Amino acid sequence: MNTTVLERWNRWWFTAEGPTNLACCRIAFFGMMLFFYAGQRFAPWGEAPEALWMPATILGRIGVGPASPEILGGLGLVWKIALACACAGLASRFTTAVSFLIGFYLLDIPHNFGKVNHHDGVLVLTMFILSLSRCGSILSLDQIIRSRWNRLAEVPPPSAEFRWPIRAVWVILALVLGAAGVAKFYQGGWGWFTPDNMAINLISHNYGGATPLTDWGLRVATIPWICQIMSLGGALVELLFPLALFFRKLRLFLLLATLVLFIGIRVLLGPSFEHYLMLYLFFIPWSKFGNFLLTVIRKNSTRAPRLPA
Amino acid sequence: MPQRRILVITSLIVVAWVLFSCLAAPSMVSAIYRGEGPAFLALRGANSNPLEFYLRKWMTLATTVGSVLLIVGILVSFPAVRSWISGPASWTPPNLSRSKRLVVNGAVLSIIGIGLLQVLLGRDDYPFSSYPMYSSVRREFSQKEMRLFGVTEQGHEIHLATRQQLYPFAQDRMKMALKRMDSRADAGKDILSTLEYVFQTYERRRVEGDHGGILLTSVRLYEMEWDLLADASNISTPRTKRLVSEYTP
Repeated sequence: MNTTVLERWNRWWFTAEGPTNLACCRIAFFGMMLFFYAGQRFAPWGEAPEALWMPATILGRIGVGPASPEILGGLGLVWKIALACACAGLASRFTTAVSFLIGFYLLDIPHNFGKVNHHDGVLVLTMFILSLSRCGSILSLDQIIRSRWNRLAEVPPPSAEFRWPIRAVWVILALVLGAAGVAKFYQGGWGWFTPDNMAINLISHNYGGATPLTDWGLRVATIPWICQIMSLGGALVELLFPLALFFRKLRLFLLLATLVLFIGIRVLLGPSFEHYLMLYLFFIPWSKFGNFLLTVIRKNSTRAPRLPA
Repeated sequence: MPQRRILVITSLIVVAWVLFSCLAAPSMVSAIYRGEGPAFLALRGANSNPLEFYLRKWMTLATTVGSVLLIVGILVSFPAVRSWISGPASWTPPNLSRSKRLVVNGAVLSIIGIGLLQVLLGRDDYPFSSYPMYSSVRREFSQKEMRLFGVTEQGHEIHLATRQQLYPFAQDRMKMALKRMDSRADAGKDILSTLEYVFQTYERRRVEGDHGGILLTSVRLYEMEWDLLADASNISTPRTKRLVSEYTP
């Protein structure tokens, strides 16, 4: 079939899809956000000394600094309420936008104190995408309220509106992992793939600078060929991850491979990447999964209800 | 046959880019290096890297961009390629207005574009980044880092390493901040105020029962260096241990 790039682009982003997947992603993503950040207090960042303020982010560089502890505490509370409302789908257009705007500010502040970490930038971008989407169309309090008021509880028909946000989050994860892979070739060069480089990393993380789950890194560091395979394999998986966007058969393999990579890093080196795993939620075919569960649960019934595609 | 007009436009753009890259850009990079540019363009590591490092990086970037412009221009000059890219589409997105499609395309193209720029420039403009974690090459089996220790009433030193002890900071963030501070010649006062902050916060939270740590009498900052051993047996006996600063209330 002779198709143009423009047409491929449109098909990839805008093919009509049912609303269930996006709604489930909304519930799972904002639910996980609430789970991770419910216990986090933002007010203490307003008390940190000025000597530690080292603007490094976009907001920091344009002069947006930490507010007073009281304001930060209040914003933190509003943000958590907004996350809960977005998860439940209450005034979802508004609460997803508030989640993004306040979340961007609150999550940005710590990165201006000494070090830019790379774990939660993807969450800000994902909240941005969801704030532009119609993720609260179904499986939401909005839907219930709409149905009470005007008795029109119809499930919206399949639309591009329910596909592009999920695809956008896929692209964000692909950009992150692809960039990490490129950095190892581009900044590290071939020296990065020597057994010594990996061995030094594995050993140094056991000197108290990080908290790996085990001391297996010390043992692995003594076996050069494993170090070589780990460095080559890790960088290749990252570099090839963008292929998961286009090749369905590769997708599951690359998702599992990066999952193994994240677990390996946590076990051997220490840093955890659970924030990236929150983006995995957008790869789950929720409607198929839901239908499968319903079929299993009500297998004796001949009229098992089906979730929209 | 390639279209001559596109080839001419491509040539003009590439020549303009080469002139800009060779004549104007180096002086701009120099100005930014000296801190005369806007704050958001500040170069990372300008304190420790020479100007030549950034000029080399610029030339690598300029060559890459120039090559891509040239190749894309030549490719686009062929009618077959143009029709392959943007010929009449037989498929249009259902249920999506033109304006909404414009917004969505704008948003996703911005994210992709900024993300790729970060990779090319090796920048860290949160929430975007080039994600360089662990990409630097380590050749020496040695490790140097800043560490904070609390001194107990009995004079014992305990390593302050957990988030509970350094709240709200994680150890890696605090270490990096102190390291960056210590690289400045006039850092003494700032380091001392940071140690005072660590001590006061630790003690206030201890009294309030937020953590179960013991009473401290002072906080010390050391720069420590280890020779890395395969069994990490020298973890508590660094090769060098330099007292950088100490705060005692």
